Amino acid sequence: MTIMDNIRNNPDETHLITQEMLDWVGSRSLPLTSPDISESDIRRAAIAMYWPEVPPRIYWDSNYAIETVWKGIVAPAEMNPFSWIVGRAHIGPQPNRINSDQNTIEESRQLRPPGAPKNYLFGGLKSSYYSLMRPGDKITSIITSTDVYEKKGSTGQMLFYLTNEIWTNQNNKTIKETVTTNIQWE
Amino acid sequence: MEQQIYGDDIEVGISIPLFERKTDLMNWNRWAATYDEFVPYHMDDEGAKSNGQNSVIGQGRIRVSYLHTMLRNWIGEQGFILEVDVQMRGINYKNDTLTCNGTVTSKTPTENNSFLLELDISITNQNGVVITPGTARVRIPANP
Repeated sequence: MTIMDNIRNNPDETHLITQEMLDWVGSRSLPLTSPDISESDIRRAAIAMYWPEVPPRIYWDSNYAIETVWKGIVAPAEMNPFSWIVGRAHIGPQPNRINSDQNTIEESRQLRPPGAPKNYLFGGLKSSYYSLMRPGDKITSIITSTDVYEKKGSTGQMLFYLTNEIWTNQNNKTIKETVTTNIQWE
Repeated sequence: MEQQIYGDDIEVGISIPLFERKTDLMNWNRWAATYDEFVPYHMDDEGAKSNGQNSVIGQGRIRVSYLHTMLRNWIGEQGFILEVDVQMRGINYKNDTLTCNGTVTSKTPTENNSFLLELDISITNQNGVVITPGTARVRIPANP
């Protein structure tokens, strides 16, 4: 029995999943490319991550970094190179509610199941890292939707959807792959 | 030179050094500014209440970052984080003290004069509640 059969057979239950959402699984976003990563981007990210401690010199001191095994400044693996992008096309953190502008951006990249509830929470992630980001890199993100399901939670019926995101740099080298669990509800 | 650990010296079962943060707007706003994560419920109580929370809450992704920082502080500059897998199970409220911890669960030598380590990692709040369980894999060098 399919998910939709189960929903049709239980009309008294509240369901969030639609056939459109199931059809959305497997869709792939248009690529999004970051601006060039600068040394300042890395330094500021590292300060925020390590605050109130001084971050390691590998993230901000080029004279030091050149002498290390990495032969130059590198970025902390979890840094977001898509911050402050004009148009704010989200690939990571997302607002808790979508306004019309945001909706247009996200729908164009097919980042959320169509017709999903508007409240959003980040449910977790699994990131696999292959290479470090460096100053001068441009990162390209492509997101594939991989699953959608629903569960009853403390706020009622909740929609879970999973995405698989791959980042590559300007040399087509894979930087990381992230499976994100996203939660939405009415 | 930063302090460096080597795989030959690591035993399965050891706990790695804790990483602790008392979280408030000083942490969260810096994170929001670098991650471009300006969500009302991370900004103030009003924004949180309109989303069903009692008061302002921290970003899930800063917790993910704290776990990365704990790992980096331990594996040293020559180490490399291969994988982090975490779930958001609880809320991080203002002035919570979050403690990141990790335990080595396996150690495997690799061909490239290094070791692959697997760890159980988590974040516990000041009430002893695990709000972010997970696992990690890292690579560290063998003894030079």
